[in-house]
Amino acid sequence: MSDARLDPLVHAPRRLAAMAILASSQSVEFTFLRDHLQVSDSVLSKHMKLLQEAGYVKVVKRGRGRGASTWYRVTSAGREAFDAHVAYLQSLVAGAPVSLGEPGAGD
Amino acid sequence: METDAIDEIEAVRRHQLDVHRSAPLPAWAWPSFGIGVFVFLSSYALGEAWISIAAPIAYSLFVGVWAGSIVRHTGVQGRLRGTPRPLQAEIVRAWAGCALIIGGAVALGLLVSWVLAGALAGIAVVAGGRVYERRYADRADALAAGQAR
Repeated sequence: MSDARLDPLVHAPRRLAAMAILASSQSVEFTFLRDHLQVSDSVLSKHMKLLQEAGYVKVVKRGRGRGASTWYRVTSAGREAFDAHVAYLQSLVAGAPVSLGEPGAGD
Repeated sequence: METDAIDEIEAVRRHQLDVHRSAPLPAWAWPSFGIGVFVFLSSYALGEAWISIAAPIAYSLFVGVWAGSIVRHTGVQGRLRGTPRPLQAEIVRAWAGCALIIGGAVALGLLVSWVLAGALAGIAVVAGGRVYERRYADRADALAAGQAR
């Protein structure tokens, strides 16, 4: 079980949604995430870059030319951060004492 | 703050369920799988010894390519471990159904005809696949609506 911890990077609504999808999948394609989150390519790229830089997400390029696609996969550190963040939210609901975690990037 | 947390947990749950709800299989998925099953089983009608080695290898490759094509088409590769229990139960039921079909087809092939066995198994896979897909979607919708048992 993960420690309940607020993760400012995961806390932003778009990134929380992206992490929720990634955490329940093996890998997800860029367009699936973009369509699901209803954001533009550039907005999604910006969010995914932050998650990638934090080591929460791994990028895999598949194919070449017109058939090329970008796939994302959550890393074990990303899964741990997401689980800890969800545990933090659940502890808030339950009224348990929680850790505010380390400061990081906001939305 | 507590209300915000409830909303966020609900949003996480909804997004995770949407992975299962918004990635329907392409229309060609089950017909192509049925054809693969037919070709695999009916190849044994040739009666050649090498077929018994080549056919399972070719069929395994076909299943790999088939699954890869579906993942590319839907844009999402599911994760059994993160799948909600009622949906996992549907997947297990589908595999059990598949094993039953293949078992019945092998018995029919050995006793009657491999071509007939292949044809019947192919049809059963297409029909069963569509039933599974509908049941899975219904379960996912029920979960999203908070009605799942």
